[in-house]
Amino acid sequence: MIRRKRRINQVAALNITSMMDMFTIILVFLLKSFATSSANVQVSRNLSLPESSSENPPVELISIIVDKSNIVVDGKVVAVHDQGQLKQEDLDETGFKIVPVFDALVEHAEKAKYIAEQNKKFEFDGKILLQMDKDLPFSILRQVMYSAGQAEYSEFKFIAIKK
Amino acid sequence: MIFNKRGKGIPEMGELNLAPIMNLMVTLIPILLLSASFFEIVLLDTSLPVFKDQEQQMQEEDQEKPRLGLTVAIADEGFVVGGQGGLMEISQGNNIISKLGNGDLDYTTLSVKLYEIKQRFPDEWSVIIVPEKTTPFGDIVHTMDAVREFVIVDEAGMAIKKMMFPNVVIGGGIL
Repeated sequence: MIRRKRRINQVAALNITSMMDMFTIILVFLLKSFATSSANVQVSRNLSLPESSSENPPVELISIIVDKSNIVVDGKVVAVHDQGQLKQEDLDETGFKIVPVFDALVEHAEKAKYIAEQNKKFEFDGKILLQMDKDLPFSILRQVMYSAGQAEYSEFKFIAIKK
Repeated sequence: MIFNKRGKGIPEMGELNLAPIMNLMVTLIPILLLSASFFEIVLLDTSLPVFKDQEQQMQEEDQEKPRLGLTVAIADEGFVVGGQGGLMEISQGNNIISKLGNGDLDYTTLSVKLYEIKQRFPDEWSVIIVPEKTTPFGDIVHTMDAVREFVIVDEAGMAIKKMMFPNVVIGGGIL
């Protein structure tokens, strides 16, 4: 009788070894994927990036994002477009230069050059990151590249998702 | 050391207290899950033709060597491969790579064709891609992949990447 009572009071120990195994594997997997993202490139939500077999790792630079409806320069929306068609008032008379994009980039270039003057370690190299939706036509890419080129940003790094 | 009742000399293991490790795991996993990126971001380098031309002109003056001036145009009918420098004969009629039956661009044939050109001009690294106004950005990136490297599969089934034309210049009206 006494024995039975004792058995009821006993707390069953949970065997968590298998759960630990699982957690260890998940932890290793997550740590591995954590290590690959070295530079923090913010990917905009409103676009689908193209896929590429390139192996160049991302770097931190000033970025232009051309998503499905906006052109964003360094985090600020400067112009809107509809399927790659820009508003006429945003373009200059040649139809190539997007004036707000050019203005924003010139401002950045001036800042960067000023920093480069003060700090010898820093160099203005005219490199720029470009995120663009894969379905947008070349015409808007040409306008963005032309505007950036006029603002002395002549080397582009297209962002893509690794295949 | 605790021996079991039967006294066979096998030591009985005490229960390990796994609760603190569990606590650690339960906190670490959500943190890592939040910061983990499940797709890898890569970059493709390209530059504007104006600046590239100046650079190439300077190289030309240094070396006094004619350049190939390889261009790949993405047209409605498919890819058109050409050479501006006059080194490559372009009037052969086989420089057009037509689209596949389903309307997609034929990247594999382009890669093979450019690999042949690379064999003939191993010192050339630049290519000018000239897209149409309506060419989607995704196709341009895919073309850049196709001209940059050629993938050979060896006997062991290993893919070897041969670098072809990594210096991509986007042309077409920017000049």
